[in-house]
Amino acid sequence: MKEKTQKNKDQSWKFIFKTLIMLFILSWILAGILPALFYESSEIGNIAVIPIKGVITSESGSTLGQSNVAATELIKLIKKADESPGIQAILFDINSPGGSAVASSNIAEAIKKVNKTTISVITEVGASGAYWAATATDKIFANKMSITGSIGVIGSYLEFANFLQNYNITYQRLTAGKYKDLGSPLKELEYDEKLILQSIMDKIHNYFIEDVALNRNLSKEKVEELANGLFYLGEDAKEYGLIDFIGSKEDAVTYIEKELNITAKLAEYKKEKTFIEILSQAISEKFFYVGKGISEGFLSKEKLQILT
Amino acid sequence: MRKSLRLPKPRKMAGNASLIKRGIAFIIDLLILNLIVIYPFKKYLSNLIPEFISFEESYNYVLNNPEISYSIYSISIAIAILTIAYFSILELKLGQTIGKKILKLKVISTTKEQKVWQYIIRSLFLIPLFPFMLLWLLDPIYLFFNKQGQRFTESLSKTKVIQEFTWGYTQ
Repeated sequence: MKEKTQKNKDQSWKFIFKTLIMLFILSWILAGILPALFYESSEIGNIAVIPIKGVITSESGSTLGQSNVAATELIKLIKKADESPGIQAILFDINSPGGSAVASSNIAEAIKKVNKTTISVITEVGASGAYWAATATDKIFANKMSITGSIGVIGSYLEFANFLQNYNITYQRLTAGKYKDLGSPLKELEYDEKLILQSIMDKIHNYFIEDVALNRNLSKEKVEELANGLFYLGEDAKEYGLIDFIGSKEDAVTYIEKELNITAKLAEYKKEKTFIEILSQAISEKFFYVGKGISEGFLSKEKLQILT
Repeated sequence: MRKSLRLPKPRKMAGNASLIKRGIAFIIDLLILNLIVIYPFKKYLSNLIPEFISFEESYNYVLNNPEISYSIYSISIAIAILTIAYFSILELKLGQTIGKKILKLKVISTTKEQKVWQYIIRSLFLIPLFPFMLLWLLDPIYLFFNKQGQRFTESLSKTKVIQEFTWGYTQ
């Protein structure tokens, strides 16, 4: 009887021990998983760092395997940083050749609505639409060799009208509305159509110039002189008043610390990629490089040699 | 050869567990849970909130960073679930947690059957969420007035905590 009682006791302690081990392991697993799931420790700080890297578009996606900067997502991050009580300044880390005029203008408008100090830092490239967005910030920093400016609009496209003709392919034009197929690459661009497209681009260019003049506190005439589409190195851009300082991200952070009398703690604000987005990007990158590899194989003469 | 005395067998009786014993058993369980369940989260929690001089500074820091309060909340839920698992599993299988085992207390079902939901419901006060937080008041008040010595959730789950009294001679 006593032995049975003792055996039951031992078994109960064994069960308790196993339960404790299981709970201990589960706790460690959850303590590892929860931070990644619920909380991005890099988003805690007093200076929000928002990257603008890649081609600027209105919606998310990728171009030839490179991810774009989606204006919709970027504006959400800007609002989030603006509404976060712990954030005292926003730093835009720019490395972008520009992109959609609408998207760039929307980003610039969103930056202007921010009620906190905003600084942009141009690293390699901050041109065209990216420069448009940068002008909306309080100050612009760039390296002396950074490429900036390129205050212009481009709408060029490849026209295949003659190419189709050579292969006896006819473009059957069926439209209701004279200019419905304006800009179609399958037909020749008529002179009047070209004038229309040019006037549209001139309008957009004018909006760009006006916004830069307003944001940079320059005269419109001065900006028009510079807005021939040419890009400028950082050093020249500073001379023309297009940027404020020659410096790096660290210099920008030091500037913010002095201006706001704070000790900077950077908080990375970036759009989290969903699993599908990561998978899709990985697949498109792989296919891009496969295609690149195949085309290089055809172009390389050495590979066509017959070896003896 | 000496003959052993034929003494009457010791008598056992179960009665409502004393509040003091229940309290001590609970404290022992909390100390064990602090080691097993809460300790793995300590490093992460201490990184989350830097060391501040006063409670007010810590409070303002959390208030100004809503992401931190959300994380703390999530961790509290995770700890609560693990704690409920500790109580539920041990009380269902053995009728006792470690604290209750040391103090010789036992959890029994007042119905004929023992179901898993009974042992989960009796531990719901451990969840730091409204409306479960109301149980922090309701349970002790109910216990005070209940003749069966049951908390509100024990009454709901049809369980009670008993202690065994033994008297008589032992050899």
